[in-house]
Amino acid sequence: MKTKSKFLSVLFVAVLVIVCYGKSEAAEPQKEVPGISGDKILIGASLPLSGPAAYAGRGTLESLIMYYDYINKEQGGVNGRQIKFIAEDDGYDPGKAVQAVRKLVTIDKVIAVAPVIGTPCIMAVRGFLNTEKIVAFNGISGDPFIGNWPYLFGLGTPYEIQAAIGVGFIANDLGAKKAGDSIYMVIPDDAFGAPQFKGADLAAKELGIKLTVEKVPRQTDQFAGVAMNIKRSGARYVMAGTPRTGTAALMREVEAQQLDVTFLGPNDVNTEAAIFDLAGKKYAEKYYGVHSISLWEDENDPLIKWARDRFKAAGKMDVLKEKNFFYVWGLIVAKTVVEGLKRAGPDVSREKLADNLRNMENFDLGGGVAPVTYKGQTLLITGTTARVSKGTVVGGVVSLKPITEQRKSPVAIKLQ
Amino acid sequence: MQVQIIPKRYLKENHRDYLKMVPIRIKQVSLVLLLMALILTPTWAGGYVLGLLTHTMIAVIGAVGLNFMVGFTGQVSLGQAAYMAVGAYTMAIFAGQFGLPFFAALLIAGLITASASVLVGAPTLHLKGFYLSMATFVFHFIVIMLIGRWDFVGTQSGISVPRPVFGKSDGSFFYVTFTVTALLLYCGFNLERSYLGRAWGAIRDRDLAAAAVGISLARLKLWANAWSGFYAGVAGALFASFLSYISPEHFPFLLTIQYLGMILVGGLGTVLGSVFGAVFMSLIPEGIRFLSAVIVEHTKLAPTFFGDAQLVFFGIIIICTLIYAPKGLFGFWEDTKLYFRTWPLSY
Amino acid sequence: MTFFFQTLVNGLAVGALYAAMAMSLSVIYKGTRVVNFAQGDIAMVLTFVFWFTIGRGMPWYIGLSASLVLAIVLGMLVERLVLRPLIGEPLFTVVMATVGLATILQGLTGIIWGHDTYRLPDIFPGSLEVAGVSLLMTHIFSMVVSLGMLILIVVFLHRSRTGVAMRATASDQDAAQLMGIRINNVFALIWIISGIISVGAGLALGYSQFLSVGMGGFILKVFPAIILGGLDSITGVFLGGLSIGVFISFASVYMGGLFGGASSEIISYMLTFLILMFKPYGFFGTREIERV
Repeated sequence: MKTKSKFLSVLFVAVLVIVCYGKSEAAEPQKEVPGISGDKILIGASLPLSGPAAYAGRGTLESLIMYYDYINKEQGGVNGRQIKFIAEDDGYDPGKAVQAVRKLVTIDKVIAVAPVIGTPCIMAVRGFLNTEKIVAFNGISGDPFIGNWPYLFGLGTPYEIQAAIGVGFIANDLGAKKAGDSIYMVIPDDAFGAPQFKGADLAAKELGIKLTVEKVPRQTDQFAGVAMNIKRSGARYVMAGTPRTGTAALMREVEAQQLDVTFLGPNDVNTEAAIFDLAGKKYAEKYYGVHSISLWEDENDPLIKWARDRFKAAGKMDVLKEKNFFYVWGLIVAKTVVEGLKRAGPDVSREKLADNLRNMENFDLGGGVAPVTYKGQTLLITGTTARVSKGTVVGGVVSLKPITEQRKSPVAIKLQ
Repeated sequence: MQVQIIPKRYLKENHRDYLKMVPIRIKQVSLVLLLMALILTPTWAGGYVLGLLTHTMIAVIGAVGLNFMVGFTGQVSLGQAAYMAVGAYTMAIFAGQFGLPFFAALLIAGLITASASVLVGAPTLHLKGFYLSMATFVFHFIVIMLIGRWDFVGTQSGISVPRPVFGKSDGSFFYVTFTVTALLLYCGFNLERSYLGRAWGAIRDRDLAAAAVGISLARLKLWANAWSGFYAGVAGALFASFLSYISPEHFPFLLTIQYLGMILVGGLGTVLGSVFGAVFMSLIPEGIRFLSAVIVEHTKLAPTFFGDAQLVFFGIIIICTLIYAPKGLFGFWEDTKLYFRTWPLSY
Repeated sequence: MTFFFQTLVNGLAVGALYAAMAMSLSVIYKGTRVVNFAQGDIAMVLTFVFWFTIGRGMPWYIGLSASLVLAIVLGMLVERLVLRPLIGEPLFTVVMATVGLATILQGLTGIIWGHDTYRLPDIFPGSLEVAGVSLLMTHIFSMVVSLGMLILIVVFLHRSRTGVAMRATASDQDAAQLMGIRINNVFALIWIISGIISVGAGLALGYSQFLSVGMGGFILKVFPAIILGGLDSITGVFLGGLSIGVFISFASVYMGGLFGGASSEIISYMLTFLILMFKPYGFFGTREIERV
């Protein structure tokens, strides 16, 4: 190429680049109201439908679909609009969660992402969701909420507080402090485990009871070493902060060592009778679980009973048999979101939904979780109490029965 | 009668002709058109498409780097994800914690990853084939697990990574990536036809003969490690900046397998092949995802079906490529060109 | 002191799992010089079939037969469709083909059986305690199965006609053909035997841990064992598996402070790297000599 034409073509390309760069920096004009598509309201969710937490995503999905169907068919939708629900699989992988949420927000243009399950996942996407000013729901760890996240809503009591309540229960109700027994805590080495340890550690120090902690990799299945460590420490109580499969594997190894310990599930996610489907019934009667949200098997709770009856009518006996916390979780998220949509009125938008949720005060879901108040909260979490349930075996079937009332944490925990 | 199989424009008559990267007019024009199309993309594309293209370009960089090791030099490397992680975390540390400007941090990320690659390559020079792959394989797990325990970078919870000051929006980051990719591709094409590229090919084909001819196996293998590591590091650093947040979860072993799949399907041993492979393997899942969204709406299939279907599809593509098209897309490209060039005598 | 022995026994139990999986890898490598990255996923699929059959109410021997039949079928299919077209191709190509196979199996399993975690019903409940050291019955099962398979294979390879034919093919393919051995049949047989070992490995794994789609990833932990033992020595790989199991067990208990929970695995990988640097062919493997 001749020098002159080379120079001109380079100049042309440079100009082109600068012009386009400048254009792309300018904000894109809003076309229509995102979240609404004609007569449909679009709600999205990023759930782990594959991978180690598949049971969580599956459970939540069932309840979400059931509730939105109920609203659509029997209530005629929300303010005249039908709900269209889009679920994406993030496999409990923050990388995939980012992609899933991006797709939901920018392509599907949902009005809210309810929920994003998984603390690592929400940590990865909350920045994006905040910039896009879109409502998202997440579970109950305190960590994702610390900071200024006006669009991130939680339901249930933070893990820190629940863990502290658990330690208090062991120390006082089970008499561990008096007997001088110690607690061994097993947590995954990630954003799900850290807050559990934080709360438990504070409570243990305050109550004067010894707490040893061991962090395991999130996906591990090798618990033999952990069981040996428990044996070595001589602890009588094991707080299992790992999700279902991990806790079950731990129980089997502890059983192999023939250790006489009592297990405690430190929060809603870890408190499941379904653990025993995998672990065997050895420790079922020596199991206590802390939870702020009602158990799926608790037919005394009106909302849960209502949901269970609906699943029974639909013939979904598997759902009734499996004691999976996430059935409840999906239910209460769906109900809260729908309530926010209802309050926003017919000309709902992302911002209006956020406003109406933030103004919620003492919204009683009719069960499931304590009445929800977001108004006046800096961190949009609603719970401060939790109760303890005990494992019982009836006719070969393990279930959990509440044995305490909702109680507060034995030690003051500041979330910041 | 003269039958012209190779047209005159392919004839190189002097040294200047050899130096030209794109000597043929039609190639020049198509290249300029392609560049223009890419540059104009942010004007019409939405955030998702831009993100997709950015991600593809990052994959291109990584794939080219991996091809230097595996395709050019024949050294099987299973450490791609680990090298990208090193680059990503270096970026996080230098741009995020130490506050260095973007391009400086990018360069450092590349250099540090290159050094890491050389450090792994040096004690394993005597290994071949499976055993070499095992060395990189364990390296992968060691690195990922060590990162996962390092408090400074947030262990498993991850660390946030800043975008460059002039690349905050999706569109502008697209340009940043585009510039880096273009530069590295230019560099790569030149590497391919330089002494390094040819020597690497010699090592892959018959390393004993290469040594006999005077090619220093140790030096060149280390250079392959270095260049491959550099590209992987830059790709990882861009990846980190693009996502604005990374954690050890972002670099599973599956990522390495995906990159290996890219260069396999695209064509081992050529830079253009890596580009084809990266583009193909990045865009096909999107096609499947789009299809799946449409189908899920109308059927009762579980949303996980398409994640699984993607895996099955990936595996089938790899196996079919290996059996029926061992030279990959690049081979297919070359064969097609030859077919048309020699038409009507192509048989 | 019992603590020490307990750790040792735990290590042997896990090591037996590694050994079983490693043996199935080694059989294939020994016969065909192919490293089969899909081995873990094959074991997983076979175990799923077993679980599925048992779940339908069939007795265990029907489930076992179903798995074995599938192992044979799968082995023949893979050898025919995937490996035979690729004879003569460089190692990387064949290995990537097995990787492709692994992803296909993972995807199919997810589609057919879903992503949940399942538990194989307890056939061997309870645990045994000897001199203060206790072990789950299922772990004893794994060890028995592993050892049993080792003995069977070694006997087969050295005593039976077909076994000798396999060793001949592994040693020199051309000479074997000249002696009248049909090596295509031998290859198919190798894959079948490997499949049968996988059934054992998969069941042992399923009983010791849980059954899920991710189970195939276990194979990644087995590579240190085969490097240690030497890829083409079945006994070597068996001992390598046990050693790595014991090593990891001790590391996780006594060196826990060094790296925390994942320390055992990090240390085993570092050990592998060291072995690769100094003794890449392992303790029992044959050295590859390149002839010009």
